[in-house]
Amino acid sequence: MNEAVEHLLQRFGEAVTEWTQVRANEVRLTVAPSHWREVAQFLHDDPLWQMDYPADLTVWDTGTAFGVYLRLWSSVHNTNVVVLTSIPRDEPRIASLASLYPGVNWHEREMYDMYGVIFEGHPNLKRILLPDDWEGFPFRKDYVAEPSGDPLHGPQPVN
Amino acid sequence: MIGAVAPFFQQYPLLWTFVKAVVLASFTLVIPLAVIWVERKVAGFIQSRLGPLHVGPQGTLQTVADALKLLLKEDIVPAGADKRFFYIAPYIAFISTVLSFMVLPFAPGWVALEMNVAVLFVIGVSLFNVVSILMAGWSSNNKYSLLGGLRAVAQLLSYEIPMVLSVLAVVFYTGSLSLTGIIEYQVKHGWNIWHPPIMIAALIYFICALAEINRTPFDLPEAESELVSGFNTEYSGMRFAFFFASEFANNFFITAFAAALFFGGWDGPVLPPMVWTFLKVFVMIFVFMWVRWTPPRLRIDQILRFAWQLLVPVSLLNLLFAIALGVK
Amino acid sequence: MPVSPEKPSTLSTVEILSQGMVINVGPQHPSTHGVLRLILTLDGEQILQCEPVIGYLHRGLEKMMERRPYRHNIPFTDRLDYLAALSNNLGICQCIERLGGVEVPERAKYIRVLLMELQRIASHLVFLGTFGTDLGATTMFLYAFREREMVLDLLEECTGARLTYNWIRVGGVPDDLPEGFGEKVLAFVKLFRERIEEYDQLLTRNRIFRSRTQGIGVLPKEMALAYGVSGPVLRASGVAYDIRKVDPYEVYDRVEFEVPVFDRGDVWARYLVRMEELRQSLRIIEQVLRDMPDGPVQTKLPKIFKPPAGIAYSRVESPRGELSFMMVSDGSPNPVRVHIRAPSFVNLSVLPRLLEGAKVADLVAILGSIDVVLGEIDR
Repeated sequence: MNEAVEHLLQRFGEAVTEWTQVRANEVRLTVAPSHWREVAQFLHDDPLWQMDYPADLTVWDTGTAFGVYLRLWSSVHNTNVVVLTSIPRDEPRIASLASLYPGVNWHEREMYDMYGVIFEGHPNLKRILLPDDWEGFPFRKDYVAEPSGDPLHGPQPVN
Repeated sequence: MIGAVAPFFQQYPLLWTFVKAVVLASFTLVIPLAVIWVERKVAGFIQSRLGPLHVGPQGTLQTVADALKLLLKEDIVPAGADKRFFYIAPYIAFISTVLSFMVLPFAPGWVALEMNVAVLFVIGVSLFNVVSILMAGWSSNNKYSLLGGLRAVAQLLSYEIPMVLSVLAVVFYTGSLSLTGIIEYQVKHGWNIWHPPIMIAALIYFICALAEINRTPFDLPEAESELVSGFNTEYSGMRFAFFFASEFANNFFITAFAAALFFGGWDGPVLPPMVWTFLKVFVMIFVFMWVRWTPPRLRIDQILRFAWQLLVPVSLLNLLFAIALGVK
Repeated sequence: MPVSPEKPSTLSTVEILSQGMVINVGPQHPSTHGVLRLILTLDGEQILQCEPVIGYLHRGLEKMMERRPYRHNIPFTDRLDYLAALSNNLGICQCIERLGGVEVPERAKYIRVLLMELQRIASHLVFLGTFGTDLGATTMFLYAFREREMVLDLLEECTGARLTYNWIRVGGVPDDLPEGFGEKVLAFVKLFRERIEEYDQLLTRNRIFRSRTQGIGVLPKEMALAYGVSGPVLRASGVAYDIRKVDPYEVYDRVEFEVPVFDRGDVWARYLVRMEELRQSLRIIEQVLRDMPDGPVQTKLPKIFKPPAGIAYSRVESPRGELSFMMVSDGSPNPVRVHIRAPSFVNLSVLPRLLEGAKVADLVAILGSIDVVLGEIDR
């Protein structure tokens, strides 16, 4: 895996802010959000990585920013990679990987639904689990809900 | 017994016909109770469970209870339904079944309407069933019912042809269009089934019978897991009861018809003829049920392909075969 | 529930014919496995387009888990994939163990594997029953559930529950196996081997069943990988991805078993994969019972459990595919984030592609073969 990481760093030196070898066949990278799509494309195409399987994509709220987590697997090399990045809370935008990995399409929709992260370039970015007319993004740490007495729309956010 | 009352009634032919019609209509409503009970018990045993047990001895009154429940239900007509057809569809199905029972000989002398073209009459009347399903599917104002109705009509019409051809094989072989005539031919010459062209005809008839009464593997029109309940999705209460009753009465009729054509009707040693009719009918119904609970159902295009690409040519050839070997 | 715009009722016949009929399957329907809504656009019997609508069972579990200490979240996981609750329990416990660096004793690992495989059998039996019913062979349902009762009785004896077990703990299992459990399980294994042959006779060798499932709903290998599909659906499309072999956990690297992989990618192949998995599960169970060592069954943890800050993930091979938990910790007793990557969620996203050009009558077969559970899709 070291060779593969070398290859990646050669290409994206400044974008990859840190990396660790978690175990023999797993690497964890932190990249800058501006290079999110390019790094993913590289991991997909490069023969040393060949990450053809999108295992997971999610977002979490650190309180000060949103962290984005992408996990990929290679069916060719049986290696895993976890790619992390951080996007600002007040302007949560990041490139969509849906055209590269169709499997993250619904994950991105769910993260838009729950956190309000805009995935630029997503073909169908609308709510997936909550009703279409729900207001607010429930998984954010500052989401406070008040019962509204309306069974169809549930608690409404206070802020 | 008919012999005893007949002379009295023959003075009032209209009344006699009325009495016969009432008796047969009641029979058509009551025999499903028995057939459904048998169905549920047989299904239970095949599925390693017991079937109805509590209502009545061994659950025999279960269907009576169900029928009572259906009678007492609220009459729901979907908004936007085409009321004319919605109302009469179940009754058309029922009427077609009663009419077919009119010409069925249960025992020597026990025929409501002795016709010398009984077979033609039965074939003609069975088409009312198709019309009623189409009416039900269309008038319910429900996409599921419409799909179910269309599938049912396609299936029923496609299987009508090989069925008619195989029945015609028997007609040509025995030289009679009258059911009583066919049975009497068999009394003299042995049951029809023992002759090769009739064996093939009987096999084709059985398959078509399964399709005509919408039984698995041909029960796509009512496929519960796909279209809720197909053409009778919107029917509830008494209307549904009529559809249901005519379906099971049809079960009885189609097997009785087969018994008359292939297995000698009421012919048989030792036991009284009426008992023989019922015995043959219930053995065949048991086989139908056995088939119903075992394989999965076929898809509509597979059903239609099977009918047109296999059954129609085979039954045509078989008809020629029967004519060649038939009446001398 | 998202609402798609209602078609105006003044469309002329020509317009209806050219746009296709929009039909709604679910959320209440005899054969959508749970509360799933499919908006189908039909042209006669052909499906032109399918849009799955989910979220009817969304309870916000991931958010609820952020308010509770780590170990209090285990019962929630029962309600995800409720047909294979123990797999969910194992998933979350493994994630917490990785986050906190907790070791699991050997005996506990063997017990966990035993329960996982029994759970796999129970879950696949539900698949067999419902799949048969969807296709019209109602009798299969009763046979499958007859055997499932036996498995549920075994699990009830061990864990106390029939569906939502909540019987895996961080650091092991709560208690040892009951007396005589091993013999009962072996008796069941012996009986079940014969019953699988019966199912083969009823379904696998039935020509109608085969004509309804072969060549239907083909999922090519590249599409399967690109969509992140997992479990029997992926293995039926030719990819040998079973986490038990690729990234072994507990004692799966110490037992011998095979992973069925087929190339056809159709409904038939998915059915065969699950049938074969039943047989392999029996093999695993026998080996586990034979090799189980004695010893403690749970590592004791402090009352207030605070794993170090960090991010960890765990993945288990649930009967439906790759079930993965991802947790973020900041050193406090409650997690900052729990993310559940449910296999059915991802598997369902490939359904519209599978249905393009299929017939309505095949919809049930294809949906049944993907074997989704709405609990884990919606969370």
